[in-house]
Amino acid sequence: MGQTEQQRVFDGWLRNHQGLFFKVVRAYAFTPQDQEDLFQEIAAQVWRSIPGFRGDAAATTWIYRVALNAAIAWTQKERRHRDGKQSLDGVEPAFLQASPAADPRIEWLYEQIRQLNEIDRSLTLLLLDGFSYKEMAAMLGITENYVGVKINRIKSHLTGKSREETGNGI
Amino acid sequence: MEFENLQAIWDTQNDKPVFAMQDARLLVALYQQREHSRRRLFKQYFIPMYIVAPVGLVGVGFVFFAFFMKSMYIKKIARDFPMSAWDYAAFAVAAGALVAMVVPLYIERKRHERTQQVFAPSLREELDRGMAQLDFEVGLHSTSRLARFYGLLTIAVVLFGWEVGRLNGNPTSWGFVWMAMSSMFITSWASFAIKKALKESVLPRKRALESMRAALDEDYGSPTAEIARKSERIL
Repeated sequence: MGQTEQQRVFDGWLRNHQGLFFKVVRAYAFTPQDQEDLFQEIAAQVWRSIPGFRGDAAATTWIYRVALNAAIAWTQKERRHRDGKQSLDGVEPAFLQASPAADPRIEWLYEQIRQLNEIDRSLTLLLLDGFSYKEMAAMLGITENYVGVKINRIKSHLTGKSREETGNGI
Repeated sequence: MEFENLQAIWDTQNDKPVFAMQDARLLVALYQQREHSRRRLFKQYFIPMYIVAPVGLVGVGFVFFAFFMKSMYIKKIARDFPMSAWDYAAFAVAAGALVAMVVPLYIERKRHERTQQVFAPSLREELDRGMAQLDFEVGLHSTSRLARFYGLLTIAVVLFGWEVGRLNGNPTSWGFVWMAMSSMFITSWASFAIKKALKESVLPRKRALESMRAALDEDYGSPTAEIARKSERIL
């Protein structure tokens, strides 16, 4: 695949699936600086992955797989990095700013997702975006049975939390 | 609430972008960062300089006065000697070095601040000022400036110490000269190391500002596209 073709595919993916990128970013990175950092990391990984994309799976599935793996790796790397260092105050201004008018129910959902562990976060994103157990298992390299067990727990956790919050308009 | 309801809420974000480039907020964030950078530079760089130079001048003046009075009016003891023309010259050079160390900096900062003090009316101008501030910060630590600064400081300290020695009856304080020169060498070496660290911390910020500026100039349309291009450049 030539550089121009790779660029064309990348631009198309970014244009058509930017929501997917942002969902993963928001689920795994919390500060604007981290979100920008992770976005770039995911974008870089997606770019690198393009020559390996054969079209066997849908582009969304492929991008999700790459983005989630990049996000999990980034989270682990950041954790190791932060164990030994203070956070950098006032380094870069936020290039991406979360919309202040965002739906509070979506904010709440992200809040709940962020409280899960890394694999559960990935499963929740995939579940909410309507992927099948089989697809989830293939993307994350786990068995379908395990996905089923996890999903049941996540569903009951989220619905339970939402019931607790019903009084707050969620 | 059932899970399907949560999924329906989740799906609403597909209809509108979750993130947006907000020029006004970005402008204010950049302005605040630039203000912070200016304040930090003033506190950490200029205030020490504005203190060291006048204190040094007072010290030189005091030693000169003491030496002068001793030469003129006080009864000499065996080891005392009066001020020579070389001593006058040494005091003048030490004072001149301290003045030359701080005055050009003061003038340059005044000139720079004139362009920085006003709130930039547009994002483009704010980016330009942000870059100018970073250039100024890096410029203060340029090799030539550091060499000049430490050169002048060494001259002032050595001559001051030499004259203090002579005031106390030691005609040639070579020991002090070597001590002062070695401590100046160590200090200047440390400041060159700081310079490197500073450059490494400033350059990524400058590149980020430049790429935002380029995005505005080329009107890429969305920050997403800009970041995509940034990512591509990183690769």
